[in-house]
Amino acid sequence: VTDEIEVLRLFRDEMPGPSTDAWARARLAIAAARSEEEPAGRRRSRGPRGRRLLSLGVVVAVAAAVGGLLAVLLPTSPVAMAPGGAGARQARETAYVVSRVRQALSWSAQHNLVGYARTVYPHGAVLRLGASSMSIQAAGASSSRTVGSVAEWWYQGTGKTSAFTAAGQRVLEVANIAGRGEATVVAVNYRDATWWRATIQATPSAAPVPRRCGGPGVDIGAGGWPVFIRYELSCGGYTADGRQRIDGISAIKITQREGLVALWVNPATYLPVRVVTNGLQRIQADFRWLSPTPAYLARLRVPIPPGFRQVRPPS
Amino acid sequence: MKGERPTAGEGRIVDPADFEAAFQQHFPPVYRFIARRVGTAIAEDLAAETFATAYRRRALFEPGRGSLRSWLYGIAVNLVRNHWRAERHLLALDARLVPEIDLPDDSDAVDQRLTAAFLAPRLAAALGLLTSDQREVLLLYAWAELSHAEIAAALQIAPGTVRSRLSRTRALLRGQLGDFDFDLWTFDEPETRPGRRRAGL
Repeated sequence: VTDEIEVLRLFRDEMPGPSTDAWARARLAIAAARSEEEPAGRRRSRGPRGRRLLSLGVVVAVAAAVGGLLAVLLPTSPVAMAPGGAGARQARETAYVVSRVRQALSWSAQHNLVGYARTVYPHGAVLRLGASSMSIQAAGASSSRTVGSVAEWWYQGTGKTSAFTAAGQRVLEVANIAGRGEATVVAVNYRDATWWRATIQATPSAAPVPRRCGGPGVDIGAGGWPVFIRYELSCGGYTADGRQRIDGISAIKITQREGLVALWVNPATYLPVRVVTNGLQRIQADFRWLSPTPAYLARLRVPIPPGFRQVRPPS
Repeated sequence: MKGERPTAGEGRIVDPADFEAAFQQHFPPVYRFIARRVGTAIAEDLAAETFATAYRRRALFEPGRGSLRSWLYGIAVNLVRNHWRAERHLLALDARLVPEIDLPDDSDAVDQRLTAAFLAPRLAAALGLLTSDQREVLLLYAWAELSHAEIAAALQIAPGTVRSRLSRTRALLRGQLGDFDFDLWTFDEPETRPGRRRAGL
């Protein structure tokens, strides 16, 4: 024999359980509540430590930007600071925005998007190239290997990076073509008109960032900017900080509490529009998120110019 | 307390590990309770805020004065109360719902779910007619599956009040559902008989 209570329970049972987003939002809200409890003295004590670390000027982070291939050395910050003193409403807004951004940057959400990032480095950034890694040391000395900007394209584990001088002259192009368990790397060096090909063990693009929150540098990790940003946001210490117009979009600005990292996201998609790291020097990356049309997928190829000489990959 | 398993979170929850255990166990049912009442869009915020509030007040939770889940549902109910417009709107929408199920009139394949689908608009309309006090007691009993004592603790009212309010509310609900036969799971009214598409409102 059933009754109205059983009927009500059938009505309830149609409702699915919480989504991943709902779990994430709850965890962020709890983290915000936890940060409100943090003694003010403890919060203040982190400031000098952060400044001390920055003053060391140690630029040691290495990042594999495309499929485990590329590495970028960023002079960023101690992070993972929780927002202190923010009102509950702002904490909720922040938690919501951060969870949406992290969801938008998840591997599955990005699966059918072509990503593009143009990163501008400060004067004197030096590029170093190996067979399975490329690094850019942002606080480098004057060198013939300096670069001014890097353009990256990526789609489903395959990516291409092009490095340019500050004057816009192309100096290097590297493609990382994902395969089964391995990746083929093709690099073209425009400075000495050479190119090489190598096969390396593939690194999953969704691999976690290999450094902890905080410290004098930030490892961008095998997933490039998307994974770096997701990880950085999970460290906490970010606050939704109103809107700013970026490339015609009224973007939501999210700032790290010490102002060392700022992120602007599209309010419709929650995908990043721009990220700026303000360590010893400023590094800015601008993003585009595109449909995988043949024209955009063609941007992932690295053509070898006629007359370029094939050489052995660097060790 | 009815139907509640003892867990690490059933004692005090001041320790972060205990709070985490409580969160893991109670977040899904609390979320579903809220989502059923105000919709998923608002529920994500309210469920998150329920547990953030619980975290802030965790030192105030005393196991001797009631179960953890009754305490959590008490917080959730207070938050949902501020969204009564959303709840009424959702109930009004559900009450206008027309099930898109087309079965031959002589079909015998009418199960409880199908009946419930046809019953849902009537149920939503009936819930919409209850006062918020009545609805809270009823839904904490039916959806959160709290005992009378737990509902009393959650709403901070006397257990006797819970019993009498629940009894009256159930009678009201049955009255609103009209000619529904709870044993046969059928309506006597021909226009609401399962298996027949209604023309709309």
